[in-house]
Amino acid sequence: MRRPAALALAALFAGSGCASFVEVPVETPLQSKLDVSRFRRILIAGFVTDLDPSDVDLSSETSRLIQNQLRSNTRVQVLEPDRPPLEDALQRILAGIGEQGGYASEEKEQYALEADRLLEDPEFWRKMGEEYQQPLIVTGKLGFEDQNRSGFQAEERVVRRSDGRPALVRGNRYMERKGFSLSADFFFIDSRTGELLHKERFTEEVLYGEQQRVSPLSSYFELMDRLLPNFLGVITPQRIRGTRVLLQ
Amino acid sequence: MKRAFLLLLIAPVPLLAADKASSKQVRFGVEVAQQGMWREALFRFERAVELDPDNASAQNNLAVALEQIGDFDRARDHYERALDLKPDDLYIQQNYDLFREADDKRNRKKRTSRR
Repeated sequence: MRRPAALALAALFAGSGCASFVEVPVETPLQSKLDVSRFRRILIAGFVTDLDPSDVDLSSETSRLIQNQLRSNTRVQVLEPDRPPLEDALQRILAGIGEQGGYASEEKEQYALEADRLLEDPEFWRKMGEEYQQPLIVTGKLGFEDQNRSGFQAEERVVRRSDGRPALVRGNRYMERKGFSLSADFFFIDSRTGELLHKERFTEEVLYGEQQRVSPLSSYFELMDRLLPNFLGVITPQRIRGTRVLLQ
Repeated sequence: MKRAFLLLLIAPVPLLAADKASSKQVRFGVEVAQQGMWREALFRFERAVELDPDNASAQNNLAVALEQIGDFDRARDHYERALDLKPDDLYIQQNYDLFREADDKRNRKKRTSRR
């Protein structure tokens, strides 16, 4: 609100020859949350997801997206294993739980517990580090869920009365609003020690109107597009863009 | 008596000259800043402030240039100095508000990374 007012005043003053100003774009540096300068390599180890069937292969899509972003935005070598190395360990947990296919809720809980334990197991990550020449490891948990916010919403309409004059009518209308939410808990691990360096949770949500038909995969990409700058801000310096006024 | 009167007339001359030279540096600094040459702009605004520390425009512009290169502590000092000189200037106030907003963001990041 301050800016338009200031600019309007500026125009007034400039017109009367009282002031001279120039608006310039600025980009101020923002340090990364983690100092990762000691790592030459980075490994996206894969992610824990829940056992419910999903339209999006969250772990591999996210690993691939992050690898691409890191390649364009950082100088570290991005390791590219054939498959995310966490997958094998998660498969072993699943094999211990029972047959693949539909899982009972207790089995899902057990899987979630064991996967959490694995994420916080320094020995597991240290061993992975030995195998991949001690990179910074990125891993974590991902969730991608349907959201339904359909319901009645207040609305106002202007209608013509019988005498031809407009009138404001208040009412409720059923609105279909469905979408998706994405939650990501990222773990940044020093594979030389297996120590957790940083952990951060990001959540994003998108809702669509009844006319919009958006596939889960498109929606996933839309949400990741919003989330990735925050992820990158953890390990790479970012810039805050804005404008300032120079005076003459 | 006559001498004292003459002295009174002559005394502001160097001050006016410094004021003019400072404004000249400011104008050139703004020109180069618009072309994205922030290092050169910074040098010009520093010169302008040296020549006339009471030039609020120079103080404001120097703060902007310092912010652009990431020297936030000095940027804050010069914004505050500019506001001391011209407390009612909307532009300086607006710049300072935006600077503090960005500074809060940076500090939040630092706090999170220390956790």
